[in-house]
Amino acid sequence: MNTNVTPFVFPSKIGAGTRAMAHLPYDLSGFGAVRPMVVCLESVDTDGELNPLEDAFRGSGLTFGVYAMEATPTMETVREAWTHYHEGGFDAVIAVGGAVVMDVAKCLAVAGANTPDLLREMLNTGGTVSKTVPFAWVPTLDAMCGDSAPQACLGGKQINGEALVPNLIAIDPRMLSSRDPYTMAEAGLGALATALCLYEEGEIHGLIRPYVQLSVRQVMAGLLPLMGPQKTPSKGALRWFPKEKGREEEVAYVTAMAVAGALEPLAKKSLTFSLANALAPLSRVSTEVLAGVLLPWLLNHVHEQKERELSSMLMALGDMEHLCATPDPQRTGAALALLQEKINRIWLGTGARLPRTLKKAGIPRERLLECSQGVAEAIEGWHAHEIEALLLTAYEGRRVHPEMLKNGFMQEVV
Amino acid sequence: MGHFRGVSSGSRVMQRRYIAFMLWFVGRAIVAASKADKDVKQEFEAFPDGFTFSLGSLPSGPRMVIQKKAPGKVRYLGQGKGEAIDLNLTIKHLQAFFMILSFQESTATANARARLFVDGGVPEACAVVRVMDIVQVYLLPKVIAKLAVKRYPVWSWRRHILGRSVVYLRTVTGI
Repeated sequence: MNTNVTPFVFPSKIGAGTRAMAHLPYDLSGFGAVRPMVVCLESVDTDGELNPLEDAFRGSGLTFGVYAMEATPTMETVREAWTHYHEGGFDAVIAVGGAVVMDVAKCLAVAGANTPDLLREMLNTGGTVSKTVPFAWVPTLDAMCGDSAPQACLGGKQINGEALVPNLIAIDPRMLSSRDPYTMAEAGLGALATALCLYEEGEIHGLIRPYVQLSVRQVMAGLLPLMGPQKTPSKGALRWFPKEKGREEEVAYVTAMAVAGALEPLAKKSLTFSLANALAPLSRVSTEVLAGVLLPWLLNHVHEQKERELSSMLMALGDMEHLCATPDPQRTGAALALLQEKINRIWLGTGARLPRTLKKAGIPRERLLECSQGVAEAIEGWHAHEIEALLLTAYEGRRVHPEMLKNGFMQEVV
Repeated sequence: MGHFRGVSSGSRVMQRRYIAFMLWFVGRAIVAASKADKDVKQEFEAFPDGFTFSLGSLPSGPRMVIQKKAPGKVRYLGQGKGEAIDLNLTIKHLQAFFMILSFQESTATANARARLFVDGGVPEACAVVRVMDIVQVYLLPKVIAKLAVKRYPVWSWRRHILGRSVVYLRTVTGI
């Protein structure tokens, strides 16, 4: 067993299920907050998608403000929100949505506890945040796995700190209606890669394993059913009896996004994401998709070339039945096969819009060597020729043996 | 740039009135059952004299307060008159309370979903929940009572018919 110190923090309280938002007034009062400010996109406010949140607060005795922001925020957006926050006497922030909304809300939570000038300074210096006002998140289906991570980005700059993790996450089915299958597939691949890339080093620490398993299972339980055709709303009398139970997949998917954020600080240090981040500027797809493309090849390589034991991955990808039915020597192979199957299903669900290889992702082949050398310098335990072989394999989707590259030649073995 | 608006919380008038009426009726029914039903009598015998419990909703929702004054003497104190409360069962919001009292969720399910919290002893809270379950079985038809309680009890027909009649009579008349 690995007895090294492994820091892992996930301080959020997650409430998921029917009427989860109704708990927010009580939970916020536990932080001493009685007047929260909601941050959302303008389209969310004008389309009436905030009605369930307003309904959840009705009768609670709390008044709140709504700041509906533009889709491309800047520091001035945060400053404007902070002006309303400060003048209105608000004492907490609730973010409704994901991606840019979370970034602005996190920055507002920092500015609320300090000042906008301090926030600007932190953004310029890449500082670490130690204090925010109470901060809640109500995710929608636009959520990405980095939303609950301890970081925020604004205008190309980033701040970090555990204080940026939401104190409360309320996953309410009433907020999970409109969806874009491609965006969800992208985010789902990102969450899958965030969780499973931690197996690169072999066995995962016992503290982290439940989060990895939860994240993987919830992504698969939620994402694949949702990538089918969207159900049309009921008509006539049936519209008065909405089927909230049918939202279990949405809740599972968003829960996976929330939990995967806790794993992101660890995933960022992995080879999968180091490569994905290095390749993202060269590609037409996002870091999350690139990580999803690289992951199966990398785990195969780790198992075959570095002989790392990945049998515990079967528990995350399958279930107890899979584990018991598969003999120990075959578990790694079964896990890798299951992973490939699941990624294939996600790919099919998007109508083959997602790339399967780095070539299809638009990455020039001649940049792979430069990328592998850069990443090899930053990551311990990997040589440049190994990474290059891996990238070539992921580029063409065919196996390349690292021995062929030791002399610096990019050759292929068919 | 974005735009800003304030939202006041408003109130849930009809839900509040429904909950207040149900608590009033159930409170009186608990007093009636404490005289008519042997299981409820037994539960109250385990409480010390002067034991007071309340069931209510945040933030300032309707509530009922019940007090055991002496052996065999249980009183319904309405919304409470400032007595010291030994056991406080609080539902976190009116919506959750409405779901419980409209039998969309049983008390046990609501507890599992963290919709209520207890300020006081857990054994006493369990006893109060058992009393409320018995009262709900008396007051409600089986179809609805099965939604409200964790497990519908097996009683004799005599208890169902005679006991129910006595509890209803005492609840309505207050004797």
